[in-house]
Amino acid sequence: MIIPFDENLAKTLSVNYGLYSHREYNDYSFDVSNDMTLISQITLMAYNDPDRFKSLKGFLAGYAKGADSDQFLSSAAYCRYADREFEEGMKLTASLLECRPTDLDAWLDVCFFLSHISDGYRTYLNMRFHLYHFIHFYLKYDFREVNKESIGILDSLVRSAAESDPEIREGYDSKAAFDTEYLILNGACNNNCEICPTPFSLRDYDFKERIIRNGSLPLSKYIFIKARKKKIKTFVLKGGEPTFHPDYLKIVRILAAARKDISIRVRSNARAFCDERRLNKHVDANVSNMTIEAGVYSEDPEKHDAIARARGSHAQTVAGIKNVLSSGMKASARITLCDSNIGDLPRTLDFILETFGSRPGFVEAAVLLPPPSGENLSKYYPDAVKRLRDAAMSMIAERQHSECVVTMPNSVLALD
Amino acid sequence: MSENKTESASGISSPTKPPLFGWYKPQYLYDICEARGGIGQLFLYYSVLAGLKPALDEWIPTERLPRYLKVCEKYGLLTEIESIFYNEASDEVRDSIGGEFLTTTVACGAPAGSGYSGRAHIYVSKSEEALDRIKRTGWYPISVNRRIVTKPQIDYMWFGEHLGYPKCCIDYFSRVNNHSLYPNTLLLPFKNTKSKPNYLCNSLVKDAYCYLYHIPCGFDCRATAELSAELRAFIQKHDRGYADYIDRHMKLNFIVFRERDIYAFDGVPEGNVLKYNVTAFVDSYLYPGELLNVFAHNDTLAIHEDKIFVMSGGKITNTIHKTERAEWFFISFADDNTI
Repeated sequence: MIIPFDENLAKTLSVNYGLYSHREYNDYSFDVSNDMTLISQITLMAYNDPDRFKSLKGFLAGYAKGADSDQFLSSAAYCRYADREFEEGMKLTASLLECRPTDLDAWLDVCFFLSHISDGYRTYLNMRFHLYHFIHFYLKYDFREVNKESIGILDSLVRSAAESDPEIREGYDSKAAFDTEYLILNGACNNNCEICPTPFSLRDYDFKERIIRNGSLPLSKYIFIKARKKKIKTFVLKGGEPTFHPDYLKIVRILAAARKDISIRVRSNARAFCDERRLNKHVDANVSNMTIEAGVYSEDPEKHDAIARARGSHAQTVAGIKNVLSSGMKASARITLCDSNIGDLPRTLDFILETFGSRPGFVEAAVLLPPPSGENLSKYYPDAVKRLRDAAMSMIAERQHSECVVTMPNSVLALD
Repeated sequence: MSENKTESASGISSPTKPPLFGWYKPQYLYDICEARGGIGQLFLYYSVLAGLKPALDEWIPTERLPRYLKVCEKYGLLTEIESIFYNEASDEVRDSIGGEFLTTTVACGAPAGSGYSGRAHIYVSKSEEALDRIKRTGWYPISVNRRIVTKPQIDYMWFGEHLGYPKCCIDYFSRVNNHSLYPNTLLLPFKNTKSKPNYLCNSLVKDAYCYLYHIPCGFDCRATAELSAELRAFIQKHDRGYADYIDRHMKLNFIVFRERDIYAFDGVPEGNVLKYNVTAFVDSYLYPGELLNVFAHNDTLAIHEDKIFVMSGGKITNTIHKTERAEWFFISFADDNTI
């Protein structure tokens, strides 16, 4: 069953309450709202701005249309969380799970609620270590009741999961020394790729500002501040299609001006670079240390177009990469694997290396797994992605392309 | 808004001068220090025992656990183990989505009683009720399916309340504390300090040398100063030497580059000039204290709006500039005679 997306409610929450109504734990949550998923945004509003929170609650209480949507159920549940009405909130989250039982993010929400429910704490403790298994629980668990008995059933499921997988990884204390900053500029794109990690709710956005804890900052200022942080060595601009952002070139110039020693990588489909006018503007910006990282799904134009769900996109992407390289900029090709193209990987690599490999400025062909967000989560995780990875590893191992680097990064996610 | 998990280094000082931060052997609660393996956080135990702080959290090596739990019991302290951290060298998780918000130490985690060796994260309180409240909000970010999951932001605020931090400081923290945006988060309470800094609000010397373990909303925060004063009076009743020891460390001068990148100096500033004998890098857990040699081999600081002139014998030997990436500040608690 597909849970409805209530676009009007999403817009109202955004315009009237400054909320980005996404609740997933993906890079959009972390980047767009700066570490603030919807539950954090709403609960902090309750803490810092009680009047506005009261207004939000009143609005949701009177909101009848689309009361079964993702936006409504999650917002209403998080209001309950802020008010410490944890049982009631969990019931609302359970409604989400009834429609979408493999929704790991809703399971995480259940975990948050359980931690505060008196009979739920012990279950939460164990559950936290075995979230990986949550998506299998739905087969046996009745979500409609939140009481000692129903939590007991959940607890027994968690315990059986614990026996099969006793570990999690956990991070704590102080700050990490990361050197790469990922920045999502927009959600809009002229492709509609089947493995796209961008949540549907964000695909129309051009982000003009960034929400921070005490308000918002214009995107350009936010980027400037980020870029000036000493530890950052690489900036990755992502979308949607980042070159579509109205201020794209300005952003690139700001980055280049803020720090001479950072490298800039643009995750693009490169179609824009078919257009000579746009290409020239890019060249005129005269930004060194920049690499265009373009997605190529297959050597077969029809197959690429089918995965990108955009007719003619293969021809434009290939031409775009050629133009980028001819103009003296750097480019690399990224093959994101999925069920439709895994079998073609050797041919696709041949095609990329023959077409671009000998050109100056070509950096590498990178092979990637589908990122674990959007629809990919239910389609490829946790099992299918391992199959894709094993198949790709063996195909790459059989090849010897001394003339160009082919990488298969260990991490699925850092390179999505 | 979590209390720290480590013993901090006692500061690295110049080899030619006596150390600024010394060791103190407590006269009271020494068995707790022995059981946990150090003097760090000792004042927090005082605070909990005094009823000023509802609870604290600790990190105890699993091999010390039986002894530690027994000592806690002796003082009527209740404990709850949240989880066991092990394999702390692991950093595979850093590639996860949201990894940039993770903290320096990354470890595997296992439920209490699962038989893993490492460090136990434990809550300690005098009351069942306080223990129950804190254990529900005090968990660290976890990696699930290679995505970093943090607790809802309000849990940090509730956690702060359960640890007994003043409301004004929690409110301030909730609005402005953002490591991903501000390189020096301590600059914000500094800018929010409207009157003369009060040494009882000095959170810069953590671990054993301090009366407070939260970041105050300002270094003149009245609620924080009152809390510290009450704790100081309680410590004085049991171990006057320890209170004197803490006072001595809190009444110093500091140059703060960012959290845990802090230099301490003795002396009393006159105008914008500080003549000092001894300097120390407060906490070498995260950063190496790369300017320590510069400071240790000189004797005077002249602080200007955007520059520190480091001088020896009246001559400038080094200049430290203020940039957007190194937004330091100087603060002195040296001549504070509040108490």
